[in-house]
Amino acid sequence: MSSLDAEPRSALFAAIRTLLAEPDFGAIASTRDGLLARVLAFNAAHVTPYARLVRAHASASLPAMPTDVFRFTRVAAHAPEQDVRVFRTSGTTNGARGEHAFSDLSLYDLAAKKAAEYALFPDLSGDQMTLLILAPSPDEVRDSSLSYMLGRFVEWFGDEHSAFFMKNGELDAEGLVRALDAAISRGRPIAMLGTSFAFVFAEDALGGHSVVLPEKSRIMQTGGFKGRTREFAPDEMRAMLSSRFGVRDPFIVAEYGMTELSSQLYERTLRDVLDGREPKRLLWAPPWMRVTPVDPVSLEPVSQGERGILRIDDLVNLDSVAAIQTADLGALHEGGIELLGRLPGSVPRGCSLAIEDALAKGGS
Amino acid sequence: MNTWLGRAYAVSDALRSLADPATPEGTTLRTEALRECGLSAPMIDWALTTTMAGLPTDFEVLVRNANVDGASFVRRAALILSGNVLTAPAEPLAIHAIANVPTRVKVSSSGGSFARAFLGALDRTSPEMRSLFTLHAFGREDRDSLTSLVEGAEVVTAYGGDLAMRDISASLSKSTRFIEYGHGFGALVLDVSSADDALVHGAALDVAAYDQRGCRSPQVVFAMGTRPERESFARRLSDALGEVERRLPRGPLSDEALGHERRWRQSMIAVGELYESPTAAVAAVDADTPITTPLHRNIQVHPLSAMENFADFAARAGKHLKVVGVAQEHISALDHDASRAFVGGSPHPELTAVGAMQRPRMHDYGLLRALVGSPK
Repeated sequence: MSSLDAEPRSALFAAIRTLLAEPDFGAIASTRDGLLARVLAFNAAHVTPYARLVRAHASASLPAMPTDVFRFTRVAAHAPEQDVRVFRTSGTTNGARGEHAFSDLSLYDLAAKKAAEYALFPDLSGDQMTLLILAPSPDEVRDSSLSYMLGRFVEWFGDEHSAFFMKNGELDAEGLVRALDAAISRGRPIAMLGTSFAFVFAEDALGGHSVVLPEKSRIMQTGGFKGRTREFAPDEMRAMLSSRFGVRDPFIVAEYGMTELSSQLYERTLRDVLDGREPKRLLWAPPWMRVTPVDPVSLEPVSQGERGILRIDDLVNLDSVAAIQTADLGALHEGGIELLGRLPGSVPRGCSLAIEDALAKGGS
Repeated sequence: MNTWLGRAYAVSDALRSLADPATPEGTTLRTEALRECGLSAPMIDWALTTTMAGLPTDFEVLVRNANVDGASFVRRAALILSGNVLTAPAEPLAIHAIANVPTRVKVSSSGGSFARAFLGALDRTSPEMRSLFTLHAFGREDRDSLTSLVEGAEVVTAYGGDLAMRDISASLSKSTRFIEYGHGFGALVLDVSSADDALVHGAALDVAAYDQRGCRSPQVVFAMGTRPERESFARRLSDALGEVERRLPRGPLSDEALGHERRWRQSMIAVGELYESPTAAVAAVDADTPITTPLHRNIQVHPLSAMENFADFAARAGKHLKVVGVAQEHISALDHDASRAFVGGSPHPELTAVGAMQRPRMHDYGLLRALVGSPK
């Protein structure tokens, strides 16, 4: 793949922006794969680590970039001085964090807004809602893609009562209680959005203070527990949230996002219920994304319904790599993607210790 | 068996019978180990043979240099063996026997072939010494069995991961002496600009031994030399691993392990130069910090511009860095330059010659002295 095969960024940027503005999801989906191939050709021409991967790849299809690579080297089509934002992963055992650099966030914004409108706020239709955010604000954590997105949500969907309730790693429980009580007194549905562990903080902090939020209030939770709190299985977590905040189960929606991507997936239950369908606890991928479970060894797609690690193609990753290989397990079903955890890490290591674990433990 | 050397020879005889495929003990151990530890049959044979190769000398040196004459013996000890690969229990079992200390030995519920075979062989060479040991198999979560095992033990020695160590330590009384040998890894430090074939082949053997799953196995080569020299070394090391594979094939991998291996190799292609075969891979990378490898004969070559940088790495890894393999002629110089920077007088890491990283000398004076209550 030479740079001669790749179109200029400006042409691809315009094509993606036009596609994201398209109201017909079917039309987006039918255009997606052709545009993906063009974006990947651009990535291969301008992103050195991806160019290496493409050169070494034997088959005709273009490979996906393992998320790990974002921890080891810069994955970007532009120079560092052109960065407008660098999102970082929340950290690994040895502190080496993955970095995703952006020279422009307008495509990210378009995609985030469009996906949220579909899966989280389909009934808002230009109106606004109180958003109570259980995550740090983007001013506090500039390198968190989640905080950035939630900050944008407040601008796009939030009313004047919207606020962030995680500060310096701690939950502002008193502020949250006041905001919840005020929201109930106003009687209009609200949205609570945040990390799973922040919701556990809230569960612990609120003690006997359970509330019943107005009908059609919703909760978006994301991410794992990262060792910061006790852990809950997804259905236990939903039961806890439903009981604590009086929100119906289908209105509790998990978001699936990662720093290495520019778009997000959501459970489709809220949308299903509002559209009058039986809610399915499956992930919905926006039509500009393509999610393919692949065999962990061959990296070839598995059959529908079979378990594989998720390869996620995201058109909006124009400035990095539009094909990302995750270590998350999932299966493709009619209507969406079933998330099945991560590729188990406990392969036999004998009495050896992983270097990064050793460095994290240090001399202790 | 009342003399130190007499016991040492009885233990040597028992261990050497395990190394011999013609003995009943040697045959049984090979069969059980093949089922248990995931190594190939030739690798199991190699591991047993090389581990036992220098035993009589090792034990004589141990006994003569340990300065334990007149020591008061510990009345009871416990030895906990978990998460080991094949021959790792040889040294602690041997030293407990030589020290003549009644010992409860715990093996994992899914392992223990080596300990069983050793006690079987010891029963033949010295039933009296065999009677010092009782063998116990239970899982890590079985706290009651652990409490019973360590009850009354004056010295508890444990091999295993950090979490297991924490659990064991918490179960001991304050008067119990605890000797832990946690999981770890090895590293090679080489001047690749002048690496001859013997050095490359020695490094390949160190990587391939125990399929890189031992606590002494190198997971990274710190390479002094230019980028082309590092890449050339990586390619030669990959070729040498291919040659080792013909003699000592890699054991079978689960789909899960193969998945991790594939993922790592894909990442290494993106980050640097990867030289791979179906059973081994060497990545020449320029990452800031060495990257965790999936083991099973997958290793990285990491640039080393100055010895201070390695000393910094060693200090960060602390006691987990067990062994550093260097060219034979560099051992003294490295010892002098690097050891000062290693953490607080720690005995780790051990410096050893390339090609011999996986052949531990059975010289654990600290363990022996603890078992016989010597003040030294």
